[in-house]
Amino acid sequence: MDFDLTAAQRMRREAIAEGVRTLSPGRLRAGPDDHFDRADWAKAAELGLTGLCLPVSHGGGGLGALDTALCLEAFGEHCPDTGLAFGVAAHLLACGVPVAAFATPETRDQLLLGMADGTLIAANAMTEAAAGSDVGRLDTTATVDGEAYVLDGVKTFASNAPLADVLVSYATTDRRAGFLGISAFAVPCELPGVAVGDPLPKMGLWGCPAGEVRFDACAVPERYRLGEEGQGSAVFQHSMRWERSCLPALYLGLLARQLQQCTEHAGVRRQFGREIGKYQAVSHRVARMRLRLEGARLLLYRACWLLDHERHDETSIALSKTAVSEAAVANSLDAVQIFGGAGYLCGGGIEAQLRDSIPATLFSGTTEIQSELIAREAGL
Amino acid sequence: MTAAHLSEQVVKDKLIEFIRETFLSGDPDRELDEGTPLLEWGVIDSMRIVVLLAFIRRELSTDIPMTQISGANFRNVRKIAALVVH
Repeated sequence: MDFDLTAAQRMRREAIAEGVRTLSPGRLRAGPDDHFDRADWAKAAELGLTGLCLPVSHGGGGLGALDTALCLEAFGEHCPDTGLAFGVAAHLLACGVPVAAFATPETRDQLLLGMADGTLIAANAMTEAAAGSDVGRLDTTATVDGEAYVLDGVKTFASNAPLADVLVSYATTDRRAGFLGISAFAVPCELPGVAVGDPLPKMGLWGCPAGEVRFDACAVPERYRLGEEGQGSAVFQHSMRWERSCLPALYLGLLARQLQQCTEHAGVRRQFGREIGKYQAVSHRVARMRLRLEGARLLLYRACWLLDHERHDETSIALSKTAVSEAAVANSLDAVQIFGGAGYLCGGGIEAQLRDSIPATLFSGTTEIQSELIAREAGL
Repeated sequence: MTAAHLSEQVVKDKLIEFIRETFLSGDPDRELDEGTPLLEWGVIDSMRIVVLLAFIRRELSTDIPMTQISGANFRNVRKIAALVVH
């Protein structure tokens, strides 16, 4: 067992840190309508972030899960726009990964290069009004018509959708086959019958626009199907395995930056004649924040390592995702408390960390679903 | 790893017993048989398949590759047993 990063891993992280300092992709957002634009996206892409784990043959970085997570962690630490980091990671993991693994060679050639270099923005359109955690029964249907599937239905909460060029979406192709009657598609947004709604106003991750997607008799040529007909759940599970493993790493970065801010603040802010860090009420809080961060980080690195070694371990991934998201919420509450009134004010960045952390317990499977996965795999 | 050493009938019996106990509260009326449409009736859903795959991995020493998880292969116990044995 070796807990050191390799020289290559350290160099990649330093390059991202330096690149974020130089290019400044994204910024602290002013309100729920203040989203990233293509210029912000292009800067993240220039740092290789849109293609980290996509195949080298198609312009990606060819990284494994752990190396991808390490890069996202560095991005999350140095980029104040957590919504941008989230959008990039969702594009890569929920869209790039399944297209790379399941698209036909023709579709891969058409889409993956642009997705890897960031000229194409992708959005994952899975969630429906009646299908959040339970994605086994989708109301969106895909009906075979000659060489195409005709998609009908409404998706919601599709992150990046308002800016997207391509959607990775899922629809029922055989209702009798239950959750195995779902098929996956890469849908270019220019196809007739695709309509994307306005960005939804959200509590956090303001940088990332998320919206509704409507398919109205949208004919999707068969070559855009991902995997076999009926394999949609497996495609989705594969993408979620990567997303749940790697994406929370950007929160590890956020938490590292936050811990640094809290430690510095506790060292200079004086009340009653001494630094507040001299009071155990504050210093012990900082110690507990560090404990949560480091525990979550080890779980995440291990989950990614297992994924890289093709040891399918849903429990490790669920443990890691839960630990990081719960650490993010708990530490962000602590940070507000340590900064006091300054932490509560908009614009200072501390309250934004709390708002950005809350969705981490919801997306890619809620904390409740992760617990369910852990319990069920234990045979309970 | 495969369960090639187990006969298809043994695998079917083990699967039926497991599905009865785990998903059907013991199936007191003995409604489940090897042809029951597990997916169509919702006996197996996206959460339960994780449990089923863990059982197959643990008790039948078979790791089912993701590419084999399809509506056709998991339609009923007969299909799943064939997948495990072959």
